[in-house]
Parts: sequence; structure tokens; C-alpha cells
Amino acid sequence: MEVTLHGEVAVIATDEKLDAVVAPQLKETVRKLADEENKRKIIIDLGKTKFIDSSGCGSLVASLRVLTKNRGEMKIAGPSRQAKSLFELTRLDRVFEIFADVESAMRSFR
Amino acid sequence: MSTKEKVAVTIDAPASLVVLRPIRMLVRELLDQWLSVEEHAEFVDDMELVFSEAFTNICRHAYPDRDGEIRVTVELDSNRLELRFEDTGVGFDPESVPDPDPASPGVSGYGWCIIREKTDRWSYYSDGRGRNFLELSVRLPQGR
Repeated sequence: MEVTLHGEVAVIATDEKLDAVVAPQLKETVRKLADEENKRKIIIDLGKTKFIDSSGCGSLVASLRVLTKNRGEMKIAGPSRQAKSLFELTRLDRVFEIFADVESAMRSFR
Repeated sequence: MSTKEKVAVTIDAPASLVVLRPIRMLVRELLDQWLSVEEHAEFVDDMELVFSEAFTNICRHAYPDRDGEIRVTVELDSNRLELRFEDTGVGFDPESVPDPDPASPGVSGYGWCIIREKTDRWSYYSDGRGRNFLELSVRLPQGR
């Protein structure tokens, strides 16, 4: 998991797998960025993530909650076919703001 | 591969997320070999997901405050994939798990919805002697 800062926007690039093994790490990363570094605009870049399960989805919902509490925004970028299918099945496609890539997500903040 | 062939693999493992990925990968590799992954990539992805949900649920909910074991059995024949999970932890009522509600999204509770949606048949029962069984059955895509 890699965090890069682009002005006031933080981009978190997740690894190849987003499952129960790493879900706590994503939640903690977002919490630290929002609570301790006052970052309120966060993009979760799923571009490298080939596998996501419900624990990964849960960590995205938890991250969204943290940001909403801090009056922030979270966007999801670059989901794979598998991720998009899972978001539809869990109806989280109606909850998340989803973009094809990081650039589109970045533009949506302006 | 002949359509008469059948394979069954049983794994006894700790109910721990430490072994989730290695065993999930084994199931995926087995399916990759059994099917033509190029033609059936979406099916293999779905079954990897189903396995992940079932195994993670048992780790989290069957053994909330103690170590435990899971026995996983994977069976493949020319028509079907059968996945069986046995544990000796706390049982649960699958009918009590609600469908996800986008008006009030939760941080958990999606796993059982995924299992129900991605399998043809499922059953969950306890044998009265402390063992719980989750049995999942899925028809293989045609043309393997």
C-alpha cells in the first residue's frame, strides 16, 4: 500500500489483493491521514488490485465513514472488472464515487 | 482432461487469516488447471471470492475468542465444484443475515450475500456433536 500526496489530495494505491489480511491496514492509513494529517480528500487507487473481497469492501466503507465524519471526501479509482462486479453485487456502487482512473477522480475534486 | 476424472483435496488448517491467501491460491490453481482459465477467468475469480468469504467468516465468527481448526474439502468433477468447510466453533443462522442496504452501508455482512449469489446450492448445518458444516455447490461452466 503506497500513499502519495498531490497538493491537498492523498492517493492510496492498494496492493494486488485487498482482503481480510490487509483491510485493517487500509482503514488505519485513512484514519491517520484524516485525523492526524488533516487530509480530507482521498483517492483509493485500485488500479493494481486484482482481487478484492467483502473484507476489502468493508474497509472501504469504514474509510468513507472516517472521511465523512471529518467532512472529507473519498473517491475510488481504477477498479478492475472483478471489483466493479463486487461493488454491484453488494450495492456499494450506489455508495461509492467510482472513477475509471486517478486522473478522473482527481479532476472531480475541483 | 477426461470428463470421467474427479479430484478431491482435503486440507486441515488453523482458522487463521495467516493461511487464507495460501489456501485460496491453492483452490484457484486447482481450478485454473481443471478449467481453461483464459476462457473461464470470471468463473475462477468468482470461486476465489466465494472461498475467501467462507474461510474469512469462519476465522472471524466461529472462533471469536479462541484458536480453532477448519477442514476444507474441494471436489471437482466434470460438472461441478463442491466446497465443504467444517469447523467446531460457534454456529450461526444464515437466514438471519440481511441483504446489504445501500442506504445504510455496513463495514461487514457482505460475505454471506456473496456466497448465496455466486453458488447454485448451499447448506449450513450442525451435526449435534459440535461440528458445523458449510457446503457449497456450483455447476462448472460448459466447455472445460
